[in-house]
Amino acid sequence: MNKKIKKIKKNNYKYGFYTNIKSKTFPLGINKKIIKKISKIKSEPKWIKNLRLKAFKYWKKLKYPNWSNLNYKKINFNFISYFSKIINNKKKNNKKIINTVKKLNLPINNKKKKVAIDFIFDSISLKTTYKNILNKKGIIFCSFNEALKKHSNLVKKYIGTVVPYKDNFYSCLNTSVFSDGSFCYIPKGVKCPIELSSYFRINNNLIGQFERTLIIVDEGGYLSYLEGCTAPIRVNNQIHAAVVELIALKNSTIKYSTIQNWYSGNNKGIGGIYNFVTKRGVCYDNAKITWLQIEKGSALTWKYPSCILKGYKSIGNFKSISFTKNFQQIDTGTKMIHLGKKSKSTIISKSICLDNSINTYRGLVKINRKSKKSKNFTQCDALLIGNKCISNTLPYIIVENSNSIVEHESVISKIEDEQIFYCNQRGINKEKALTIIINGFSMDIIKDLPLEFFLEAKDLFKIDFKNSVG
Amino acid sequence: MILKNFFFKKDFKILKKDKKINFIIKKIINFKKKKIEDYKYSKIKNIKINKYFFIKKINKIKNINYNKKIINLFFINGLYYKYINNINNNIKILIKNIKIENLKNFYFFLKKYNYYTLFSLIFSYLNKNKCYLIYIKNKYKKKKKINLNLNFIYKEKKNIISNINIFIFIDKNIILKINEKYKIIYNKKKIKILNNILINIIIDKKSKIFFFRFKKKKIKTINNLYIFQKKFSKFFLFDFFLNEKHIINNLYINYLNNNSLTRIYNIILSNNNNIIENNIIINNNFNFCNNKQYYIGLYNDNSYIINNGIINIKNKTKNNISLQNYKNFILSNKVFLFTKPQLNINSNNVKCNHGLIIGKIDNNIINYLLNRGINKNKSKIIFFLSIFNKILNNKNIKNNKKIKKNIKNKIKLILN
Amino acid sequence: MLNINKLYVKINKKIIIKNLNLKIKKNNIHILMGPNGSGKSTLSYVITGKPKYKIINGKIIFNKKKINNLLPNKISKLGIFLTFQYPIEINGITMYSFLKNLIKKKKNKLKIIKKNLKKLKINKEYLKRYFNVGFSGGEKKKNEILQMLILKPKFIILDEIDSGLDIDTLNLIFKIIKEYLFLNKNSSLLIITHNTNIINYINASFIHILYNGKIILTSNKIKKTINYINKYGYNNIKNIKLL
Repeated sequence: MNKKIKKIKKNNYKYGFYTNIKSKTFPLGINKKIIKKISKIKSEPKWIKNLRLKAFKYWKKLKYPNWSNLNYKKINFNFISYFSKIINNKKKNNKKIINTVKKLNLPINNKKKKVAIDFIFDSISLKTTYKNILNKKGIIFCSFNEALKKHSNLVKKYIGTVVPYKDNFYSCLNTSVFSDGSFCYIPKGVKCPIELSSYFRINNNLIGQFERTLIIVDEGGYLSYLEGCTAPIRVNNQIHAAVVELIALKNSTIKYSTIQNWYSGNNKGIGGIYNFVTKRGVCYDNAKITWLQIEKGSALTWKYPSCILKGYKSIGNFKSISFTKNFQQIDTGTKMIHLGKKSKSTIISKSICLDNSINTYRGLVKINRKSKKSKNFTQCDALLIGNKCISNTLPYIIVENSNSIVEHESVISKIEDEQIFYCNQRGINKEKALTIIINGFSMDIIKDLPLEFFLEAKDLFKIDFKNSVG
Repeated sequence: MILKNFFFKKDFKILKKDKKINFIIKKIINFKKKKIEDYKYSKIKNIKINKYFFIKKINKIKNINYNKKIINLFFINGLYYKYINNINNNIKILIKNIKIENLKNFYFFLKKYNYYTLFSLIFSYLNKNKCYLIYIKNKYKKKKKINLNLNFIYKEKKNIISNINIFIFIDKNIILKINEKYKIIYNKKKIKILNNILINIIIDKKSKIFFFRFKKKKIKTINNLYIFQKKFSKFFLFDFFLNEKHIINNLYINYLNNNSLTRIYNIILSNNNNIIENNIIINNNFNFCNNKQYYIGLYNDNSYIINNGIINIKNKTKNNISLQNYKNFILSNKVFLFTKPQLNINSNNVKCNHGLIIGKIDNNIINYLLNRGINKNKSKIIFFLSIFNKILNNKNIKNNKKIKKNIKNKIKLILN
Repeated sequence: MLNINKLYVKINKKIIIKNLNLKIKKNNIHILMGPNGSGKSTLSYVITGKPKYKIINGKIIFNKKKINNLLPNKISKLGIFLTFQYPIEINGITMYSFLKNLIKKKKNKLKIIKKNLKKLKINKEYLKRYFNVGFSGGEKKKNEILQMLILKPKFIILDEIDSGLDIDTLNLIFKIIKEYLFLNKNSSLLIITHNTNIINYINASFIHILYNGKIILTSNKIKKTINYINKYGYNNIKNIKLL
């Protein structure tokens, strides 16, 4: 086993280390007992416990979804542990955590980069920073667990309104076993002065991470939210099934950026995270939601951050860049459901394929009968570099009224030899030339990222092309 | 469910017992499992085949007029009419009861590329295993121009279904124009006609085919067109659907070698309760293939439109160029439009492009024309004609005034 | 410096250069002319090692080193520079982040670039724009010269640098090239052009005429040759030996 891990470690994944720390982990498997146990250990209110059980009852009836383009062995949900918590008494543990944070390069105590972070380690949120500053403005930013206790009314009002537990297989599973997550509430007319973020890390070997994020921005508020995630290098596949719900009330704006950097498996397709995420937001009148995502990690991705444009003149944006290598499979895209009049949506999806990877864009644009004068613009570009990679574009477009405009454009191309020769002639080698061109291709989206991630994002595409370019 | 709707009840039982064709039944069922998502929005269930009659014999018909300079083939109520014969030396027609087992090889060949659809398979049974082979040969080594009309005539006093399975083999160096024509004799309004055609065209090297389908009769139609192209062959398809009640149009283009070229031009003008389903698959299995598709549609009233377009590009192929272009205009709030232009690309040396616009009338142009003293309705017609002209100005149909006139009239009708 | 010996080149099964010999010494300026499709650009691509241009026979020797089958970036590092007739565009990458890659020194990259920008009279704002995207023809050519100044090559090939330029820019570009050659005395220059006015801008030491993949004439009487071409064109060029 150790040899295998060493081999995998040659892969230059920076965050592949493991923190050796004592923790209390639940036995494998999922059943009513486990769910009750999770609820008990977190001392939750009763209505949450009932919701979990209701969802679990429904989940057992559901069929395993296999409509996507992904090829993988069926997941055995009884080989997963659903809860793991660090025994947080000893000072040693604290040191180890601080070391981990340093290694992960998180700006927790950095005075230059002001970012409030909710750090979630396995199943539990460990620390939330800048709470005091935020409290003064009336902003609530805490772990989901805390919110259940302190702000029960808010949670009860909004949870499950955007992603009901009946929505799909994984959202149902998440509702029944979710462990922790982040909660954020921006009061009326407040513009959040700093970036808020949550950082997810899977550390334990057998655990699946099921977190839940709920963000509410009240009328006229503004929020920019970041999400980052990493995991250690492992031989087995681990599952991550999260639910993110955004609620943008009148005149508010939410910008949600994600850098997905899970461990994605080695060059033979062994190991990596299976990522099944349901992300969705609701826009009321004049509200705006922007999804920005950089997909780099995870062996399997199944993710469609979507917008329900309920209000008059509401705006939904989706900007994504996905970068696949080795045996990675990504099935991502968005749903833009126009319900309100004069609603607008923009979709820009770019994908870069290397090696044996499969990269799929799957997007739905639905313009309802009542949402008159709506507009949508979609652009999907793909760049194929490897010889064995596959790129799919599957747009679904439904229009039911006569004065809306939908535009869809999609171009699939390769890097032109002329461009590489030009760079070569200036003394730049082939790998660097490819990096330059790919960076240029994805610049449209990277430049929109918040500054805190910007430096990291540039490093994202520094990759050996030795395997893929002969 | 779809399957059962499709067969006569008797047939289904008989078919199931028949071992020889059992393999295809299995294939259909497998196909159904896999691809059922593609038919999610399809209104295919609305066609109830039990209501139609299948005709086994035809009698002589007097007074059929046709242009004797052009080769004409007549199919009456779905059967070949052998009494009119102006075939010249260039054409050989084999019309026999060719049993499906003889074509087994061919179906296996299809299977290899996954060309099956529900429709094509089911209808080849309904056809009672009969198919017509048309072989067009070139005696001379030079290029030869040939015109061919396929006439489909309906003459019956009850509801009929016509199933036609045609194979057309085309020799080297032929320039062939194929015209599909429809005629209904004894038309009473209550009589319903379901027309389903399976045409396979195999084009040999360096041949050029123009295929015109110009439809304005109210017939429920299911078109299945398979094209197989060899080296340096060219295929042009002109589809104009002007007044179809329910049309399911399946088109499969497959290349058997490098350097083939395909162009597809499609115009849909739809009003009332028309249902139009377009399923197009293009398989780029070889190098240097060049295919471009242009679709323009104008929909009003309760039209129900589905556009499925798939471009597949096989692994390790080089320099393929594929383009897919949709332009749609919706004029009423009751229209349902579903579009799904797909690209499946397994090669890194391609140029692929698809564009889709669902738009409304450009008010700037209308205002400009209003300023010039043209009334609103007329200026709308001018606006749409300018868009349709991109297809209509193609040199192969430029001189066909009949088509232009018909399209103009139809646009007028839709806008009113 | 550069020595090409019995060179045969083919692209896509077609032989384009047949038995070509060319010698260029240090601190020399050569002009290469010829009709369209005679293989001028092909020659420049072969020297710089563009893939798909296959050398069937012959040698290219640069500073006593055979460069036949070297990778283009390695040839570039030996000091051969080509200005492209149609420079490419890279969307999303700014001029600065591209030019940064050309400088070996780790410090003062911006200073070096700005110094050269001033020489070429290019606005600093251009550093923030995407590489060649939306540049005019003249700006693209200036960009090529800018890269030349940064890379400091020993052997420069100008592939139709004068096409589509106004007189002011043309003067500026040749002024800078002359200056460069004056400062770097070991460098030499090969000018590929259609423009017979070229002698008004620069004093060359040799002229070569390329016809059907062969050099049919090499002469140091530049004015005479050019006058002959202006009068009679390339078709009667074989008679030029009678001169």
